[in-house]
Amino acid sequence: MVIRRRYFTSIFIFCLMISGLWAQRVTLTASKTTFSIQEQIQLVFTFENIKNSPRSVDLNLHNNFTVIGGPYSSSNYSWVNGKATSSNKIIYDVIAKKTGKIKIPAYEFSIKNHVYKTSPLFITVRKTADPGSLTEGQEMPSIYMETILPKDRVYQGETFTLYYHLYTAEQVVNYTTNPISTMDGFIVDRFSLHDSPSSSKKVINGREYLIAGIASLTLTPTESGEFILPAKPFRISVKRSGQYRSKWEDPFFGNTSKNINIVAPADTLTVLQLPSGAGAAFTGAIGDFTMHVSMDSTLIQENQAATLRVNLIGHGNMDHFTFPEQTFSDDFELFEPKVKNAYRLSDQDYKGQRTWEYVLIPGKPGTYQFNDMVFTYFSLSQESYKTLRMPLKEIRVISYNELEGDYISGLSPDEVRLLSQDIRFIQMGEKHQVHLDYNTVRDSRNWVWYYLALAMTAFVVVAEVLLAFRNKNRNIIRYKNALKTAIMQFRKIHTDQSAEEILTQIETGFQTYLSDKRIAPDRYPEINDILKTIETYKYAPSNLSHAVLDSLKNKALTIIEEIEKA
Amino acid sequence: MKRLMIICVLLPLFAFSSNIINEREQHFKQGISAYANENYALAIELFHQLEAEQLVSWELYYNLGNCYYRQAELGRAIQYWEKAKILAPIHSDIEYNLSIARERLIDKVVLPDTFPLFTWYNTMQRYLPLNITIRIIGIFLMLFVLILGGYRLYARKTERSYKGICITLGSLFLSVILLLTIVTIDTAQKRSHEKRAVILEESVILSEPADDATVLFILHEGSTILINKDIENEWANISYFDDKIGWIRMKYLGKIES
Repeated sequence: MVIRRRYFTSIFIFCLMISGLWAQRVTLTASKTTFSIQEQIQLVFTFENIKNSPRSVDLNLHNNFTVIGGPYSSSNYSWVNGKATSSNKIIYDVIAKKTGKIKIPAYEFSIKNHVYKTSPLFITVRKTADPGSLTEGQEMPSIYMETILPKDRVYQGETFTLYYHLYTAEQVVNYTTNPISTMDGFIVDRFSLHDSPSSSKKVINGREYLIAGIASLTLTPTESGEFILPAKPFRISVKRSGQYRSKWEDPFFGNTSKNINIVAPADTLTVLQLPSGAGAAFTGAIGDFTMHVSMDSTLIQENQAATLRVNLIGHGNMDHFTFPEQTFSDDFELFEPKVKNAYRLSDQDYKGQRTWEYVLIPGKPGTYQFNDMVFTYFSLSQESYKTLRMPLKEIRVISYNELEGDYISGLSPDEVRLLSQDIRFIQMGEKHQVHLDYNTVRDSRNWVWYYLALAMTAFVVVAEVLLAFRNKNRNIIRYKNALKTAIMQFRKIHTDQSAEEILTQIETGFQTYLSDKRIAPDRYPEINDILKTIETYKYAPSNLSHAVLDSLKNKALTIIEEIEKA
Repeated sequence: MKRLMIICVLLPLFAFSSNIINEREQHFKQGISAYANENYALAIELFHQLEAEQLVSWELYYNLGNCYYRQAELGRAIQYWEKAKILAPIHSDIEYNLSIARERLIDKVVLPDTFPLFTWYNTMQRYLPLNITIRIIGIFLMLFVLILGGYRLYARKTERSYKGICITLGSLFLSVILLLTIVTIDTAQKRSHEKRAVILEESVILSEPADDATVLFILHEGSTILINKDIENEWANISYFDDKIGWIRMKYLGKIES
């Protein structure tokens, strides 16, 4: 019985050991096995029940993938039915460099004398952005990117700009990416993330997309050959769709945007070698240029400087070449040319001008002739070498003795030029004479406007004061002028007016007088009489004769006179 | 009758004054003619006769400067062109001739760069025609009063207040007036206190007003200096570019400001 029990115990322990051994394993999985080249996926290494698992993996996938993030790690430890299980994960964010079926090979890990091996992983990368490449049933993504090259082939040394276009059917809030500072086989002239790009709308496969060039990369190839311009990941923030009725229902509490990682696909570019036969005056200039040459003076003094300026205007790889070396007579001391750059990166390449200033100092007098200034560049418009040639005028160098006067020491070329000029001719007449002791400030004519301004100020002030006084004492003034106002009103009455008009004027004049004098109508019985008479006359004014109205006017005036006397 | 008497009195006066003007014009033309005939000494004499009449013009000073330049008297030439510049500060002919004369100077001082705003202000002061700025300020004052008066009248008539516009316009005008006034006063004061002179021939600058004093430095013909003070019109204490001060006999100086 005891032997039997021991036998079963041994089998149980053996099974436990076997099960434990089977539980220890490493797996490699991908977040997606079929995806587009613009998409970012995660490669996940899972170490189950393995202690001391590594923290990173040497992926060695350079040919097929670009690692854009990781390694990130996560651990999981759990008890299930009294049994402990653990798993450690190492995660990498990667993007594919090319389309097609890609095999990720098996990885081997040697941990504590045990070797663990993953299975190979097969992944299909498709070019989804191209609507033609979509298979039946596949939907166009709502947001994707494209890399736009200006042309498939460029010349070695030619500056060009490629653009990253964002196609979106969603509302983009923001976008970011890491800048590119180096690239094998190229000089990176500029990587620019455009803050406010211009956009256009386009319907693709029945869906409307907003297209915006959100970034650009200006490159100048340094080698010839076939190059793969790598995929470029971008992080795009898009506005969430309004699925929550209020922000309180929103689990993100008002965080209304989400981030999406999108990749602008890789592209291939052919860099051509420049044709042979460029000549000695070619120093790598590629583009289209014009040249201007000038000498600041053709007559200079010995040991004084003359400046030769060569000005190149145009567009191309202006930042990547210099002016061909020039030779001058040994009688001239020559300094390194001073270069002035006034160009900037335009949409495609550099645009503007470069100036080389050569300072020449003649050692002895004489007449000197120079070789033509020659500059060769590779014309992109004609795809051939072009040579610009500008002749230089001869320079006459004079000795000190050739200059008149005693004032010749330390003259600059500008001063020498000025000495060759003369003063301007005398004035032919006097337009305006002033006294010998004339003083501008004391000239009264200059102050006329001040007097006018002063007079105007005085006028304004007086007017203001008078108006203010009048406003303040309006009633008193009216009281004082009551008689005058009434008489003026009565004087306006003419015989050719109608009886109604005359009656109204009498009434107005009389009432105004009473109002101005602040006299109540019941103060004098005569006033009431007149007012009543006017009221009575108003019923039939057309029946009134001028004599009656005259009598009424006189009566009113008599009462006014009496009041005035009182 | 009264009018006839006034005309009778004024007419000879007018004829007399116009005769004076014609005479001066003739004189001036003779000077030009002498200059054209390269008789610079005569031209100088004729122009100086005009100056002696106590009436001057920038053209007269300018022509005198030209005559002296032709006579190879650089100091005098600069002196008279500078005098012309006081009366016509922005005339290009004067500035051009002065630039040519300055190139011939032996004493050349390159001053260190100053703060751009100071440089700009000093240049502006140099060329500022005071008569024009005074008139401009007057016109602005006039406009300011007109706008203010007009506004008060209009506001009273329409009983509508345009306080905002009035304050803005008023402040603008006042600011311009104030700024121009400050600049003008500063320039006028500077010019009234400034007594410049030109060295007429190579001279030694001494430590004190005595012929046997220590020689501090030498100034050559055409250099412009500032006269700080003078002793009985015999000796002058001068400054050359602020930092060099010494004494010189007045006879070697040609005063620019009268």
